[in-house]
Amino acid sequence: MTEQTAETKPAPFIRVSDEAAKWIGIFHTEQKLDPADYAFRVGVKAGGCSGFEYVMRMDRPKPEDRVFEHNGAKVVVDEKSLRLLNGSTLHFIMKYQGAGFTILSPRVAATCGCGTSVSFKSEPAPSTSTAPPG
Amino acid sequence: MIRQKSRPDPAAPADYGDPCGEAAAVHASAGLFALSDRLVFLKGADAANFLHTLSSNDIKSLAPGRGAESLFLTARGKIRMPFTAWAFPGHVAVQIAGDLLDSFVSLIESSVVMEDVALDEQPDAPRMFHLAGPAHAEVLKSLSLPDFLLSSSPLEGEEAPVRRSVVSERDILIFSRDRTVERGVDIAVPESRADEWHAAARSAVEKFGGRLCGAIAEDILRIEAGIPKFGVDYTADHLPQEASREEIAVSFTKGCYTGQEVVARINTYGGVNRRLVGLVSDGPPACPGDPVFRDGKPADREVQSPTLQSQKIPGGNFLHGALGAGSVTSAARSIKFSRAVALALVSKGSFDPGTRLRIGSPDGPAAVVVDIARQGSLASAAASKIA
Repeated sequence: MTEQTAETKPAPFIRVSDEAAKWIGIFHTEQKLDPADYAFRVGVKAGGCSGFEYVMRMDRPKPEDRVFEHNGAKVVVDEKSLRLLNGSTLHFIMKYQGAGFTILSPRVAATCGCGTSVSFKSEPAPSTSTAPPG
Repeated sequence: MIRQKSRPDPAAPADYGDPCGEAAAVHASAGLFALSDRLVFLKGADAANFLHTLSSNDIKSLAPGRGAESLFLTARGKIRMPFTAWAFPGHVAVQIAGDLLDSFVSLIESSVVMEDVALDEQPDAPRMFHLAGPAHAEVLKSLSLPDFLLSSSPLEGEEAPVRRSVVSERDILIFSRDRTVERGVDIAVPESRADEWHAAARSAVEKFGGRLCGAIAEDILRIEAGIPKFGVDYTADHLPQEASREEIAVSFTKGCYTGQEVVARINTYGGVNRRLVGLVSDGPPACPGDPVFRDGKPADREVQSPTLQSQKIPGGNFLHGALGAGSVTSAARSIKFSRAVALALVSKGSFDPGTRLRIGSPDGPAAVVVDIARQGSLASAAASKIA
């Protein structure tokens, strides 16, 4: 475990899994969106039974967004959402009852029954012992 | 932060020398109340949708000029705070009790992430008044303010005449809102003009035989109308159905919001174990904290718990209802109906309308249970003969 100080604390980050990166590429192709203009946006907004809902869509990046790239797939997150999503991983899961992107977050305190709404723990930071993806 | 937070609370006086006379004036003519409520404006393209997804009622569907009561709930369905939303083109006005303003602002600020929502700082934040009584429309007219039925143009898709929820006249907002059994309006006046306006309104009210009304008269009149107060009759310990707010402040068709799972489950599969009801009695007025009995047994015995203690609530009162020490939460003698009226938190088996309970002791004055989920039902029961 590395001791963290204000100077060495890594910047907030999210990870993108191999499968999620692959499917972001597929969505670019299927929706005929130029990867130079569009990225996959991940965010958080108020709503749902537990207080917050994830936002996921193809979107034009904004100058203030943080950008995370993996295997050529570009994921953008606004600063306020990133505070809640710090340490999360964007996955793509395939199940008998549907497939889609999902977020695994160490900061989630509870989810609602249908699983689309979450509440977050109040403590500000997840474990930072793992380096952000390179 | 919004500037209203730093403004001293213009608490209404308890009375102006004759609380019963003040309450009677509302029934006979008109009464003017100073409210502790605050009006906060949420601006941004997502303002209505934001409140809609966070609270229990259908805010998104409100047409401009319309309002609705709603509740912020915890994820477990307990009431965090009630508020009223008023839709305007491009923004939403939120009316909230003054002592809840800080909590409301904190909730909003901690919930906004991606949304285009901001608390609109009002340099001249309004002060709120309530005008009620059969002569209230005449008083409005004499103050050169419009009455709803006379002045409102119909909303799109509606036929005239329409009673609007909100009318704006110059920089004064008038909200249709009944806080007593008489029709009434809430009036928001910019702080810089509030004293001057209040003096003019007082003269107008008195010209029609009305009076200024203090907090005691306000309390008598709201109990008589069966309107519960957050922090007095129900608290953050209660579910919407326990507080009998589901008819007025909950939409069961709007979709998800924080706490919705619990509220929907209660609605679908079964009721609650305790509920706030109205009581009408021909006996002497009850007191807050009085126990309520049915068939010689405490009507709250099923929800007593040795681990629960009397709970301190805002305003310096103690809420006893479900905690075993008593069940009456508010009580008054109705001036209009010459009867004792009360609100009480009682257990399952005792809250069905028409149930006869005893107040104070197993052989105390008889009272009949009235469901207060719909506004006006307590007054209707008080106006009729007790079976």
